[in-house]
Amino acid sequence: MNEKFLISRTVLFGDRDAFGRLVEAYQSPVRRFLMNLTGGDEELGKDLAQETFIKAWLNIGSFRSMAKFSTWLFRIAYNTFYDHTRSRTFNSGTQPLETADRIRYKTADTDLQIDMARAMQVLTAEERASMLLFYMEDLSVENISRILDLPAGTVKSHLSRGRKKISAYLEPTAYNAERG
Amino acid sequence: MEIKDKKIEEFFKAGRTEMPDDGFTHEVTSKLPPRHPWLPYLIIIASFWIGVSVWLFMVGSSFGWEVLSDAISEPGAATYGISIMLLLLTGSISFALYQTDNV
Repeated sequence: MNEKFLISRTVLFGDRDAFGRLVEAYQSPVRRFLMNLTGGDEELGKDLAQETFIKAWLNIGSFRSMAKFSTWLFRIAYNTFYDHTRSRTFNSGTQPLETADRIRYKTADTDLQIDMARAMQVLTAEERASMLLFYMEDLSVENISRILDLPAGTVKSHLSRGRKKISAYLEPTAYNAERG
Repeated sequence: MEIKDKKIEEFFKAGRTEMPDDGFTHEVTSKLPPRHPWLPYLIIIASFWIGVSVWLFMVGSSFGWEVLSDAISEPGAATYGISIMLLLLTGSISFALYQTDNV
């Protein structure tokens, strides 16, 4: 069914089934983005994704169709992650960056996922989000700047720094050696 | 346009996992809090407008249309005033309910 039709039904009638269809369509990219942002914690990623969709449900009336629905959802997802990180930093007084032993992937290619999670740890939260949205989700710099609420120039700087860090990370790894 | 680094792109694409639903959608939809949809409020407001228009038309037909322009200076102005206030009140309540829901 058409995405705009499902959004209209949700806004006008509060149709849970229509919203369920939207969740079904977008759960994979949103959960993947949040899982990688949290450094590979699948459970935490799932919890944050749930929170994201509940916020989307409550605020769908404020969605303007000038933006893509996916961009709007990623923006809520990033804000949810940001709020979670801020509350954890505030409560524990420590940096919330995940350690490799917290990685809890259940996917088939675990080695590759652990590699990805470790690579994410060399990046700051903004660099991580920019790199994931640009390279994994194929979004443009303009869309990323809307999602992260940063100027396009700042996003480009994050991408440039992220590229350098990931290149340095990949240099000594087997991943790089395999591909010559 | 930002150019993608091939090696990094390959690394990220390899890590692009499709997340299976595994009951996630059901879990989310079962946790959705109640939300007031727009349509009933739009219908209430539209009905009120239609009612007011019909009433004004009937009043206008009975006394001649000049009653509308003279209404402000007439003792009957209060009726119009109350109608407008009721209209604004209905709109405000609807808007407030919608906003409360979006917090």
